[in-house]
Amino acid sequence: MSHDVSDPGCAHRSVLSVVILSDIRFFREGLVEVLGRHSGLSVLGDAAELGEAFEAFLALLPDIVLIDTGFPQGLSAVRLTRLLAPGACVVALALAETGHNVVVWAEAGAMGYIPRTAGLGEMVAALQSVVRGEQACSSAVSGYLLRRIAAPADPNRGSPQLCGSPLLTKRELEVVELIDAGLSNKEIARHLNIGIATTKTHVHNILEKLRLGRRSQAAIWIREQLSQSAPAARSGRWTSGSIAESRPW
Amino acid sequence: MPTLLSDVIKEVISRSVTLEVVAELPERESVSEAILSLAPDIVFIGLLQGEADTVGSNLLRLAPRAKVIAISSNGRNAYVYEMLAHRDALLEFTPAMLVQAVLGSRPS
Repeated sequence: MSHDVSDPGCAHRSVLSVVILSDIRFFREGLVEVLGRHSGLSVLGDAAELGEAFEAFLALLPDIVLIDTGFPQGLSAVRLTRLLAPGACVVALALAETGHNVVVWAEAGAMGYIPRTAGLGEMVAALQSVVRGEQACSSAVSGYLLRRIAAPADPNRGSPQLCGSPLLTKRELEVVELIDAGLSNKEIARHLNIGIATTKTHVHNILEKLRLGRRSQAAIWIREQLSQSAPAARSGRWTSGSIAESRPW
Repeated sequence: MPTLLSDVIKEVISRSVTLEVVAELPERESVSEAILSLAPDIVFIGLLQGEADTVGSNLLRLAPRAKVIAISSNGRNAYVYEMLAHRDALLEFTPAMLVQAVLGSRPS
């Protein structure tokens, strides 16, 4: 999907109208309550699934549609929103902030994201930034985006995948990416909602499979792989969309 | 527990209850020490994916007067642990019944 990058396509109003899509009831209703109290926001509605109710809210032409990244059909919801409410800013909510995830959601049509590590205090300001066409991101994400842009253009590069990585499982690739982002084993475990022992096993297997001695070498390896990611798009090994959509809290 | 989720919990509860957050722990290592020293009324803990909810009961042993609320890793469910006063009537009790009561097994 291509978008006009020169125009964020979102409204510039003092009070921004918001629609929230999440199948986690507490999170959804909690956000409705909390965001509804903010003078700069007006919550038009919330939905737990794709369907008539969600589409009816889109028909109200909201300024922002917040889509929980844990929502099972999250990327489909982004595309649907872009179709039915093209003027709305689609914001991926509680995104596990890795370069892959950011690209997957952006390619689906998201114009911004709220990292899952962000606090509520940052959220309103972040939404206002997205409406202005801005998005703060981690240095790891900006680095990833630059490497991606620098990689040779390939029209088939829809989902970033890694060449030369048939040995690694999807989970191991996720772990390598998080190593590259500078996370410790403990942080990776928490990020992926797995045990530390499991994380250590993944790291051990990764190093063994790649015949490397140190995790820093694995980080270098994945950067090299990513720089060649365009031809790998055809390998069909790693579809980041499934990772981005299936990540739990 | 992700910051966003814990912030929503705090905001939602503070609407109805005067809430003073005495500690926010990014890791579990210091949770026992914090509970013992701070004696909180409520403990929220985020569960890891697939983690058994014995975590909640273990924390409750450290703070038997507290409510421990464990939030599932996907943020969908919460499990509340609390010690409740319980009464069993030992009517016409016998020595065996008393021993049973002391041992903790339910008198028949």
